[in-house]
Amino acid sequence: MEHRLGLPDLGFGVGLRNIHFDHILEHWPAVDWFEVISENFIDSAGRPRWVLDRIAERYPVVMHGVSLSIGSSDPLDFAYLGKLKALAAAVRPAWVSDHLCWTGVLGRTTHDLLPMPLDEESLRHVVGRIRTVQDFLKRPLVLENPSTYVSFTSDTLAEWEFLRAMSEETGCGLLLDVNNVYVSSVNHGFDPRVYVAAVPAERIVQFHLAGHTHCGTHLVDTHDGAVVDRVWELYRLAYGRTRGVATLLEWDARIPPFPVLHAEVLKARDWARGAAVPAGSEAGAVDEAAAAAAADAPGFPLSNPPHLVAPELG
Amino acid sequence: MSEPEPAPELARRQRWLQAAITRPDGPRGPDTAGVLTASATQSAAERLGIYQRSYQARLLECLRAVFPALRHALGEPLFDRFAADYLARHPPSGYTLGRLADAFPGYLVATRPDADWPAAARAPWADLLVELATLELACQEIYDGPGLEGAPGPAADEVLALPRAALLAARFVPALCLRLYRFDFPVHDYVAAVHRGEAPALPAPRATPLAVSRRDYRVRFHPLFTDQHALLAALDGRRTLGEALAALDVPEPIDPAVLRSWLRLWLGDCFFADVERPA
Repeated sequence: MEHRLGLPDLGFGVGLRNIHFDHILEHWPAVDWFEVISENFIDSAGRPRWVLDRIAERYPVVMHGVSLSIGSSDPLDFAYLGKLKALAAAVRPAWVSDHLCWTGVLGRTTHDLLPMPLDEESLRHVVGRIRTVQDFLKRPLVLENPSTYVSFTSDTLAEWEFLRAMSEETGCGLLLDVNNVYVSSVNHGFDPRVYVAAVPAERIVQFHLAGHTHCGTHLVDTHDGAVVDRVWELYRLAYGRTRGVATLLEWDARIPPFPVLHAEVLKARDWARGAAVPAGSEAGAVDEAAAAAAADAPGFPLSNPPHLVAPELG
Repeated sequence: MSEPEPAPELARRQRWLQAAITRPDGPRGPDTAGVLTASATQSAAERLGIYQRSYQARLLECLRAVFPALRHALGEPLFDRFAADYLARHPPSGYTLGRLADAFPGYLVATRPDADWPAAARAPWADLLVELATLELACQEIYDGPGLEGAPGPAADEVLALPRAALLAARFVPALCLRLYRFDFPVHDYVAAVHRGEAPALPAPRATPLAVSRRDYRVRFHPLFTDQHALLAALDGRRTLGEALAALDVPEPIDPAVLRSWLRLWLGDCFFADVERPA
């Protein structure tokens, strides 16, 4: 079924993580599609790339990057873009996505998805760079709204206004991370339903779902647990506006066995079909449980956990 | 391909925020509230702190993932102190976290407290740490680097069927995934034990010639005899087998039958990308 930008509705997918390689190769699970972290594969000549090639033979694949740094004031990294283009030519992903963010300046990188100042100058800058990248890759770029923990005093645009103008001016697609909308709404004090209602639905080609951590004063996009009920409600609202686009579950820390991950994304299918809120999990209940769990969890709640592939010893 | 001119105010804000996040002496205090907003529950400085802590924590987690055995040897607090100092001296600059640890073994060498002492007076424990870091980084590089799985090397039976003169005239080209080491500790046993989830005791010193390679996409350790290490090091793709044997500084010539058994073993373990034979 052809949808926005001529891109298909891939159904309900999961992020490909190396701890699931063996399970996938052995069982070939009935997942609609996989999303892969581009940077984990663009330099790989080892097993990760071999596994990706096998998976791309059987499933639709989407390449999702974390290092494009489309909003940076540094020059674009064309060596990186060249590798991205080469991987896309080999894997033939349904689309290539990254984030509306910047990762570093002055030749440095933080490996974080840092927030954009939301004003006209930033918008002009990002619009120009998206056009350049799309010309280079010869395909539309799909950009995701990141979760954010600060905003700039100089901001003159709401994030949804920025996304609308950016996508309309460049023709790029949007990857709406519903969990990020919710995380940012709590951190910045806006109504997430206003955000979802204002984002141009006709440009959304994919949804992300994930778990987060409640830190008492703010939420962190930790990708380390189940999707909470408030995010499911928001997802249903967003899904209804698009009348259905590809949906992906991210789980990047404390990653469960593949069947648990798969079961979680199948909930999205049920929600998309209008399933009721499960008994005993009314909105908010899971958030409170998550807050209690976070208080007991060791370590620092890390947003956007890194995706390193650990070597396998024989 | 052109790209738009950088936006001056955007560049200024990004430089400010990056400095605030990454440098311990970066901008703080009144600057923060002038650039960043507070929320209903947090001040601007507290919100900035989320990114500051995330920066350190994310990179630290990557180094922990690359060096699990070194981390076990040092204990978590001490490893984290080394890692934090390394990150301050070698902040990331590339698009991939896969290169973040590249300079870590060199950092340990450069910062060891006995770096200026005579070799005989240096502390063995520092050697152990450097060797662990060297081997663990090699595992990472070999695992994701080029191997021979897509283009298997020469078959042992075919090579060993060559007449002796032809065999001695052949050049054995090492695979890119082959690394040779002469460690002072059996660090490969320690690393393998940590990967199996064990908690090994620190190893005692023991001369350990070692080959590390990859077969079937898995990194494999191959302890060697001293003669084997010397011969593999001499088989650099430029010398013929005969020249490599002649260059060895060993007390006795290698027995031909033993040599053939070694070559069969190494060809089977994908040590060589090619065996170039004379026309």
